[in-house]
Amino acid sequence: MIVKGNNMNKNKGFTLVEVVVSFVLIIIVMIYLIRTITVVIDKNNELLIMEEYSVFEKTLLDKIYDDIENVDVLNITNQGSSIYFNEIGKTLLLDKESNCIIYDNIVYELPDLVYFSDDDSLNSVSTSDYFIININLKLDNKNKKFNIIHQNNK
Amino acid sequence: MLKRNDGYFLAEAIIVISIIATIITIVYANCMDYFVRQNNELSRFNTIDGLYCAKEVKKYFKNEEENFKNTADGYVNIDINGNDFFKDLDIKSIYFSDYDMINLLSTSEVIPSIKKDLKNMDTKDNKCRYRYIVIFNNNNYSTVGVDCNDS
Repeated sequence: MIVKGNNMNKNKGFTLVEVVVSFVLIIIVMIYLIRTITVVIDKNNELLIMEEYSVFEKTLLDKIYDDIENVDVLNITNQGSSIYFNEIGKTLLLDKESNCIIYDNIVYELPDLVYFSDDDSLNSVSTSDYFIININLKLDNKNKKFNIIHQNNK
Repeated sequence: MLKRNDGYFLAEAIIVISIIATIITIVYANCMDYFVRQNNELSRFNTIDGLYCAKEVKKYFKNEEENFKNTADGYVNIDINGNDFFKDLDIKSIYFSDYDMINLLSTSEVIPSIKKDLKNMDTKDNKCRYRYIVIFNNNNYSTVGVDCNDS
């Protein structure tokens, strides 16, 4: 007589194919995960750099505009890597070696990964009615610039 | 009688849950790309440099503001062709508009991407009656209020 059930072979464990397929799937998922984490970290760093740059730009521009905004007539002298504001006796200097901007003897260090452009980091346009100073920078290999503008009161 | 084994090993459950969580993380991180792009659009609006430029534009047109306010269309596309000051500032176009910009945004004057952002701006806090909208050559843009009541 055959009795079913009591003498059945018990098969525990996994076949080799199951193990290999599982490992391959897990490795593929891990590769995508690591790639995604790298992208997220890069994007976060980019945002932090932008934020630091914005703070730097605001601090410097606020200081300069505080000095020049209420001056009726203001002329500048472009001395190459520096600008002299004639009527207020202050100088804006781009120090490429130390990677900083010096205005009124106060040093404003450029944030991390921000550098002066190789060509023409300091330009100016000056007429009898206005002047515009361009400062050209590189932020993480992207070109950035900001202007300092003054219009003479007519 | 056969012994019935329903359910899963703890290890099996943990592995499956961790793989699903990983896949969800990857999908979420890739969708974040979409939100970061939106943030990049916001980084074109009212940059620090743009704001200072817009203030200077307002100063430039101080004596002509009364003429701009008398427009029947609700906005003025200020003609800046041939003006070296705006060319040196890389300004593409300047609009003088009612603060809520309803009339300006109902036309096709402004490029669609900026128009979309302007439509999403909150204009309910109506302390100002008018505004300048300054659009730069790199499609950054800034606005500055006119006749603003600070109280």
